[in-house]
Amino acid sequence: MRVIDADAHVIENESTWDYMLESERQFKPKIVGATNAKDPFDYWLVDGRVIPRSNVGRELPVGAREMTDLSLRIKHMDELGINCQVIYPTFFITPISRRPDTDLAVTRSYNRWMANIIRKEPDRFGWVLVPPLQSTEHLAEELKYGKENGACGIYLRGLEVERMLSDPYFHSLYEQASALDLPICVHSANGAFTTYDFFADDPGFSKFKLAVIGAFHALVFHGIPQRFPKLRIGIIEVSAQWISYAVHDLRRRFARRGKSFPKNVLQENRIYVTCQTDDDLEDVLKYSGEDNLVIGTDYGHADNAAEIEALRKLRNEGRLPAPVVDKILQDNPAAFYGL
Amino acid sequence: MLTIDADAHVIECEKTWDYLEGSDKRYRPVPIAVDMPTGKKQNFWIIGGRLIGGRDNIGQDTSKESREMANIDSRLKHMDEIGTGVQVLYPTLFLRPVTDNPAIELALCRSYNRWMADIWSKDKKRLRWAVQLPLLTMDKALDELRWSHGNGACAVFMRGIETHHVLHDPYFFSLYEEASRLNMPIGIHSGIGNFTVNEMLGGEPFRVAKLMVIGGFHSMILNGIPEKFPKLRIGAIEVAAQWVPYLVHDLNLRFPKLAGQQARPDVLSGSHQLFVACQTDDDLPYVLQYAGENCLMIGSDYGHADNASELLALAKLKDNGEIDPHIIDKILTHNPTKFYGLDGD
Repeated sequence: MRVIDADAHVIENESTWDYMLESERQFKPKIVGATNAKDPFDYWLVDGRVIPRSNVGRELPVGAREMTDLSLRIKHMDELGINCQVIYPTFFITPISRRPDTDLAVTRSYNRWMANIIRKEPDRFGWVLVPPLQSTEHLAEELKYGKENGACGIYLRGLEVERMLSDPYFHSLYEQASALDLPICVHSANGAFTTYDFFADDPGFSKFKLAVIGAFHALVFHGIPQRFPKLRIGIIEVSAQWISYAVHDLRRRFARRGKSFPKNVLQENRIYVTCQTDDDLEDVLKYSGEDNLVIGTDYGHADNAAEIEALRKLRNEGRLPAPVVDKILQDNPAAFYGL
Repeated sequence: MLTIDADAHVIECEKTWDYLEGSDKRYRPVPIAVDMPTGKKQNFWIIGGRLIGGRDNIGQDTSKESREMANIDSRLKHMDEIGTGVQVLYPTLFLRPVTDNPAIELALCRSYNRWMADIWSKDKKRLRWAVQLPLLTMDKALDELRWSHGNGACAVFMRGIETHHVLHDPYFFSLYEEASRLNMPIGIHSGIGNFTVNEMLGGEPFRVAKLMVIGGFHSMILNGIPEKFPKLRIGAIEVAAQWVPYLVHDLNLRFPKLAGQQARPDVLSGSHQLFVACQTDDDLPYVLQYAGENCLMIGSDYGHADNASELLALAKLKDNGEIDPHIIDKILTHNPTKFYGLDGD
């Protein structure tokens, strides 16, 4: 059995930006620390904004979390019973810059950095590509690069470039993702300055989690899965306990419009959701079905969703029948990421 | 047993603005119908140079004179027919941001509240209402709150985001203090009070109206507003209740990370301050495991025709036999009585 961690992270470091073109070096993010040394963490400085580097699982060795020592990371994965991790970024959890040139420079460099790391152990890792959404003229080239270099998904935040994910602005992305057989992976994160800044002191519920749940709702409500019938969609790191609420709400809205509502909205729309071990999974499964749940550890992070033992716990605690656990740990993420 | 509709509406009409006084009359909203590119005609108010919508969210299962309160007897008769003893009345216009101009906001709130007080005076037992406060000017908001308390208001209407602040912001602390003193709860109703966020999210109802309220409710709990104001009651209104298990799970992952706190699985079920208006299509036996018996209320959304509207919700809850009769009594009577402070009525 090949156990897949559907949501693991890398912590970026200075070398992440070594892949910038000479002309892009001016946009290179820098690590800075407060001079009063009161904060226990430092920051990325990029385009005049600072992004805290606070969400770091410090119990993990630096080489493992920054993926500078893959043997260390793989040894740890073996201990955890994980065969494959799909790697998500950390830097891009928040909006980065309103400047398309900065956005393009950091996304391109990140993608090349990841590709170079993952190609050393392609059987043990997959990675999601960060698309340069402010530079649509470079999108196709970047997606192609990702596909040819082992990317197994496209990273999106709950809101992107001050838009909802149902916006026609993204239709071209969805079309290209479908053609390349790359799923879109809507991760707990927010790429819109408007709401990110409004909820500045929110710990992540409103600005990250609800943004993603809103994205799920909007994608289904606006028929994006029907418009792009080969597109697979992942809802990542917001747990799965919310599914019943969104489904109840959608069902009402469809009924009011005289539209039939799918019996299994996730399955019929090719939507996969990462669950957590503290979800009421027996109840969640009534709405999600067995074939559309996956699970991740949030490896590398120290936030609300981080549970390094999540996969083993799901297997060992015996709450769900073994065949269902197998699907969540292996079959479903393999189908979603095309692994 | 007096059944209480915890969420009913009035549809504002020309009469709503007849209470504008003096120079405030220049702010009188102007009704306008616009032929939209879709071929449909839509109705708006012009307020401070902006087109403000929502005038087409009208429940055709109610008569115009009832929903606009032009004929109180007609409304009361209809309430009798659908088995409702008391309705708590919420606005329609203010479910969205209306103005950023404090003078206009104050004028419209004052007029709306006086219209509501006038309605209440026709039947002080059966028609209670939530006061609309001019929150851009807090001192005026507190004056209005005190005035409304003596004129039939039984709750403070708030939306998921108000002005330029999240609901746990200290900006609102004086309001929470005064509301506690007056025994008036905060009804966080489906809606949003901030133009910027509303427009960024395209005015999409699920996001701007529902999720913002859940986020506001979550942030108030996480930031200890109930503990800071131990007499304050807080309700989440017209966002259903199916999200309650998700909220409780999320809070309980966060509580242990806060200094001096531990997990509180009973954060709702053990609280005397937190309330949620449910809907009949919620999975209530499941929701009750998290909300407990003393938290849930129910509303009909009377007067509207949106996703939450269910004119016969109260009767349906009684008839569907899904939950124990004594819990139904709590949802229909005891809990809303407690939340809205109607015990003395």
